[in-house]
Amino acid sequence: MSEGELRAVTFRNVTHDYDGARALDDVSFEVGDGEFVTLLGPSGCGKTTLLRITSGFLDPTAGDVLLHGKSVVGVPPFRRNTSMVFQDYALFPHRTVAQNVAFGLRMRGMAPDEIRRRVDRMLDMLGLAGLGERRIGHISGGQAQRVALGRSMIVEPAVLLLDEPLGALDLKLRKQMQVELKRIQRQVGMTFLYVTHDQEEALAMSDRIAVMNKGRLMQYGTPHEIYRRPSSRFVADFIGEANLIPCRVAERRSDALVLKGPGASSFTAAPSGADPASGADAILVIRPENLALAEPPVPQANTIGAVVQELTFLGPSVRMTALAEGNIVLAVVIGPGGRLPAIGDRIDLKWKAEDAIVVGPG
Amino acid sequence: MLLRRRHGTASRDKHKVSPIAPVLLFQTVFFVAPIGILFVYSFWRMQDFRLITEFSFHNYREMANNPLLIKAFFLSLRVALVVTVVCAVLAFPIAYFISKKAGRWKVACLVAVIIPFWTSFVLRAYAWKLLLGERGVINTGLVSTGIIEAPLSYLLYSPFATAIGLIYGFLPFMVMPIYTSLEKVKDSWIDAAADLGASPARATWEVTLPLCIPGLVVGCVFTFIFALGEYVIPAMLGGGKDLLMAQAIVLEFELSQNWPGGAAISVVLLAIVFAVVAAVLRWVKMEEVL
Ligand SMILES: Nc1ncnc2c1ncn2[C@@H]1O[C@H](COP(=O)(O)OP(=O)(O)OP(=O)(O)O)[C@@H](O)[C@H]1O
Ligand SMILES: [Mg+2]
Repeated sequence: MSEGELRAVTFRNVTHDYDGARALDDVSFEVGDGEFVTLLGPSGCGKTTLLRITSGFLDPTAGDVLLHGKSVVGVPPFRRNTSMVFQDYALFPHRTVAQNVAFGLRMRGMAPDEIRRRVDRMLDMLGLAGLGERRIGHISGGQAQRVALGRSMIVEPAVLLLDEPLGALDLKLRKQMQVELKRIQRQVGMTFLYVTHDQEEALAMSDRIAVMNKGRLMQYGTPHEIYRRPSSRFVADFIGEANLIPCRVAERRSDALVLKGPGASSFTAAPSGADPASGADAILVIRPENLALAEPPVPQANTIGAVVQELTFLGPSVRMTALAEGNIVLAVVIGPGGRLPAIGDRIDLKWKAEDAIVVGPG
Repeated sequence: MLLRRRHGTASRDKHKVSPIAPVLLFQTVFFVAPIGILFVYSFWRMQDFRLITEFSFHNYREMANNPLLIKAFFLSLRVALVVTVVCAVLAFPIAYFISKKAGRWKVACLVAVIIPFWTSFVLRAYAWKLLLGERGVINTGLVSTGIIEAPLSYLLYSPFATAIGLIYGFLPFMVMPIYTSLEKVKDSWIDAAADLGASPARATWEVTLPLCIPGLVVGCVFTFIFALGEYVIPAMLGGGKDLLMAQAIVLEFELSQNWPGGAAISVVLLAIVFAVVAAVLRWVKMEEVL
């Protein structure tokens, strides 16, 4: 197997303009075979545009899209080996559940017996057995979601494109379908390119996440990397909760980055190789669960003084907000058994140097 | 509390009935009553220019034995059928274009479809005469460019001319309901079909067309019925050699002064119309497809 075949989809410098308005700007990344990749970003960042370019409903203004190593730019949707689960499902209202699922196989000219066999198997796998003869108007939202999934999966596409497929479901069903979708994807080993603007959903389901903003790819990596090593302020802020402390880079040492924080505080962080230059503005990012109360004697480095503002009981943990020097609001998660200060107390918060992330100010 | 709720229900029921009442009254006065009179007339007969008000099937027997009327009857059916089919075939792409491709020109296109209604049928028939006549625009053009030697005589004053006039006149009746149906066909359904491997033609056949059946049916029924009963266009463009039903009715009433005879033809025409509507309503459950 050559290297190209290992990648289900390759985006190369994909750019798209709608009548002069840029929707995608130089997006490049690869989706491996059998991978579950999520496009994550705020509304209007170009997720749907990228999916439509992959399925062939749009051609990129510039750049290239490859399926299993072959460029598909200019190939119409009906000749591409991709399949899309639409946000509104787009199930054919004049056909039954089984006829909807069978549609793609029928278009491929498969024998009716074989189609029936495969449709039955698909309905079985999706827990839709017995619903085959139902009309589309007579099934629930969750069932419609699975019919749409089955209708697309049955054609065994090189990549299955899903545009916020759970967006229309209520929270409980949504959580349930997240688990089920992931299970199905793992079971059949199909490549999924999944769109959501729900970061929790992305973290829970994906092998890799492509974080997008304003048409640009901000970061591409595993949920772990994206969460632990965000490469920009946007990613740090968008994924999970983050405390952002504005700093200035004082010194770049080979073993550590030394930063000047608000007031006279000074911090160290592990160098990442892509750190801002000495003297430049930077943002120190610390996750709430990585902040802890410092007991006296308070260490010099990597602490910040603050006043407790609010305490919220969350069950297993307590969430605290505190106001630090320079009017910075910090969120802290105090785990079970941790000492609880009172509102108005002056406290010191500490963190480990390796838990601190330095990103540019932009 | 209970009383008030009862009162509320009662007044709501009253509101439900009241809008239908004027419609019913209107239909009774202007439709049912004249048809009833026509129906009664069709069983009377004329003798020595006097109306004999005795019940008989005389007029219907006469009709069945009149080869000219039989011919007119079948010609009318044929013309109406051809007009309906041609209108449907022409209207679908027009409606499809307006609904799915016209973009911001949509309203302009719709207006263009409706504009002919702003001028009278008679005026439009004259326009066709100018186009189709022996010295009309088309014949002159064809002769002067040498495509044909002599003017085509069948262009005007023939069932062909009648059909063209009818198709032109009734096309909007076909376009509008199909357009309405197409507006309910979501783009994402067509996209989904393409995504699953259907070529544009196949997607139209599998998804768009079946979902347009309500509009097609409504359009076909209207066009067929109007074409079957139309008088002005056949009278002006048809030339009078080959009579259609509506012309035959007018002849009976006006020329022959045979009101019972004309009434009988009208009743037959009406029966056909009702049969068509009944058959269609039976065939497609409108409330399900609409
Ligand atoms: N057909 C179009 N014509 C012009 N601009 C468009 C069109 N479709 C999308 N856009 C613009 O392109 C940008 C990206 O749109 P896109 O639909 O890809 O966003 P998205 O990430 O899917 O957003 P959402 O989460 O709201 O679905 C947006 O600014 C949008 O307004
Ligand atoms: Mg979108």
